[in-house]
Formats: sequence, structure tokens, C-alpha cells
Amino acid sequence: MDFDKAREEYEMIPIPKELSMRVDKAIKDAQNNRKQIDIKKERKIMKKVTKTVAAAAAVVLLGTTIGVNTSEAFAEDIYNAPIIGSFAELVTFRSYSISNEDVLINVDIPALQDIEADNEGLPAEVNKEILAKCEAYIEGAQELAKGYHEAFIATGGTEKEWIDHNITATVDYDVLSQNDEYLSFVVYGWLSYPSFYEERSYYTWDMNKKEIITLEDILGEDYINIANESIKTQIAAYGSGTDNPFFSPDMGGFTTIDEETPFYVNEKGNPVICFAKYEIAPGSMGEVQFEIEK
Amino acid sequence: MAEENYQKIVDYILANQDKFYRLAYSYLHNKENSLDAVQNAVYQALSHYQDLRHIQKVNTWFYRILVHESLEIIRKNKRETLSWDDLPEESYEETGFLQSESLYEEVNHLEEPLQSIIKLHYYEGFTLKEISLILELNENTVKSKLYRGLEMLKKKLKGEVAYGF
Repeated sequence: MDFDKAREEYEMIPIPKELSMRVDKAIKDAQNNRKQIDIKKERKIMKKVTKTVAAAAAVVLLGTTIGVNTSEAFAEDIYNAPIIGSFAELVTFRSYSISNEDVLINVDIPALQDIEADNEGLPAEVNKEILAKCEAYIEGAQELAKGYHEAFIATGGTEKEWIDHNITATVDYDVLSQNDEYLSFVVYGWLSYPSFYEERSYYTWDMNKKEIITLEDILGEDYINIANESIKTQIAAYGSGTDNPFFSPDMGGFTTIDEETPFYVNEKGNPVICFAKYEIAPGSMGEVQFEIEK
Repeated sequence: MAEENYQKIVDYILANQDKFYRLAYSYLHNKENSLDAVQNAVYQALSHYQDLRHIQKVNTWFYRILVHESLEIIRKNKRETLSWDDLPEESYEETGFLQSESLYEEVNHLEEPLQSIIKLHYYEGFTLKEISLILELNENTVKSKLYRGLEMLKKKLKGEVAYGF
């Protein structure tokens, strides 16, 4: 069969002169749509700020004591997070906003406070790591926004249009579970645009051992095999062949966990292994999680 | 960097728009629908550009969106109207024996995803691995479907010769 001839015929398809106009319109429309998304995200942040004010009031009653660096040029606050377990709790260590011509960043950095371990300096190490991660994220978000701002102006956008874009970044945390044994939480950052700039770090504090635990601590020596087997079974349960939405192993899909694979412990005490968006499945599936029965 | 990526995607789109149009047209056989498909694909790509992790993959990534948008228009048209274009494929075969159809036309009458696989491979030069990413199929599936498509084309072309006599 002569595909060269078929391809020649294919390449003879005439290009209408409207094409470039329609492509330009699509580029402009995509730009406008982004503005609307940003407005929605801003509303979400407003809600969060309201909550923060309520929580800030609580600190007066509870009288938390944690060292806070107050030398920042930005307004800083400290307040108690929602009440949690008896031995350890997560508190907001720093809460502030950075606003410059490029981006608005709302920051709530948590710190782990263990009533007994505090003097042994263990949470300090964890807290240092959390702080460093958050600060690196904030720096990255500022750089990204600055680059985007410059490119926006360089390609003919006005400062007023830029302000309408209202680029915001958020650094925040959520407690995922808490009981007498464990306190699990996630610290995350996201940027309203470009939205792929997202980071999530999971931590599980062992109330008794006074340390951040690993998967091995909770599943035992054979944790890799136990987790892999469970995850493979759960992936297979989604369907076989092309019905299965996950990437196949040879196309970058799941092969094995390792000691670095993020996880948290849920209310049942089971570890839940987390894979970032796009890691083992199409982006439409978002972050994928697998509970591993102990 | 994100903004760099965004600009690279825009540059890629501007440089390759003619190719996008041709592929869309080979599915839709109509100017307005093909322009719509390209416009939608560009819009969708830029709206979800953060889905593209590695700029080197922009080509397969964009074609996935383009093929999807083109097939989506065919589906919509089928739902909304029943025109001559939408009659079952056998109607083409019936007229096929009167005028000998070219290989190009026969490809356009193949079922999906055989049609896409052959176009992407022989017209756009994508490897089977790349096609598996564009069509979100297993690579072995792509291979076996390509062979099936080629078999069908062979039969059709031979069949016409026989009818011609």
C-alpha cells in the first residue's frame, strides 16, 4: 500500500485563512477563563481567613506558649489549631500574608508541639523541616509569579489586567487523624496559577515513641511487599485492560513503593499511601490514595 | 518554569496550527467543524496546560486533546442531526465499486481507533509508543490494531479491483 501517496493527498488539504484568527481567539479565551478561576479561588481564601480570625481569638483563652519569631515585617499571629490529642498538638506557628505587585500569599505554617517531648528537642527537628519546606515553597511561588508577571507585561498585558488576574498562593495544613497513638497531618502549598505548583508533605507523629513514624514502623519489616500487594490488588479492582484508568507499569504506572513514599495514618489506624496527581494515573484522578489494612 | 512552559505551548501551537487543521479535517471533512475542533483543542490545552508536566511531551499531549476534540464533534453531530454523512459505513462500500477509492479515502472510512492510529503513524510520523500516549491505549493494543487496520485496507483495496472487473 502506498502511504506516501495517501500522505500527499492528506497534505493537500487546503488551510483556510480564518485558521490563524480562530487559534488567536482560543488563546485569548483561555486567558480570560483563567481570570474567572482565580476569582473563585480568592473566595475560598476569604473563607479561610475568617476561620483564622476565629482561631486567633482562641489563643487568648488557651494561652499557648511557643516560640514565635515576631521580627517579620508582616503581621504575624499565633493561635491554637482545633483542639487535638492529649500529648501532642499541631499549632499554627506563623500566620501571615505577603502581598506584592506579583502575588498575594496567605501563609499558615504549623508546628508540632509535644508536651513531653518538647524539652528533648525532637519536634524541633520536625518543625525546622516543616518551616524550611514552607519557606522554600513560598520563595518558589514568588519567583513563579514574578516570572509570569514579567512575561504578561512583555507580551502586551497591562498592569490593570494583571491585577485582575489576582494570583494567590496558599500555604496551609490539615490534621488528618488524631487519637491516643498517632497524630497525622499534611502540610501543603498551592498557587492559583499556574496550578501545577502544588506540594503536599505528610507527617505522622507517634504519641508514645515521640517521633515521626515510617511505613516500616507501622507495617513491619516486610512493609514494601505488604503495601505493594495491597496497592496492586486495589488498582486491579478498577478493571482490566483499557478499562483500568491507571497507567500501566511500563508507561510510568505503579511498580513499587519505597521508604520515601508519602503516607498518613487514618482514624482506623491504617496507613494510607498517597500518590501525587499524575504520578501513577491521569491528572483527572487527582491525588490517588490507598488504605493498607494492617 | 511554568510561564516558560505556557509560552512554549503557545509557540508550539502557532507553529503547528496547519497540521492540527489537516488532522481535524481528515476526521470531519468540513471547514467549519474543523476550525471548531482546532479552536476547542487550543482552548482546552491552554486551560489545562498545567497537566503537561514535561514540555518535551507537548506534541503527544496536544494531539491527544486534538483527536479527542475532533471525535467529540463527530459524536455531537451524530446526536443532533442525521445527515447523509452519518449513514452507516456500508453505504460507502456500496458506492465503492463504481469509482475506485484512493487509499487516503479508505483510511477515512476505517473505524476508530484504527483510523487514528494509521493517520498518526503514516501522516504525522508518530511512533507506536507515542500513539499509545495520544490515544491512551496500551502499546501492544496499538500495534495489533494497526495490523488489523492494514489488513482491512488491503482487503478493501483488493475488493475494489475485483469489483472493477
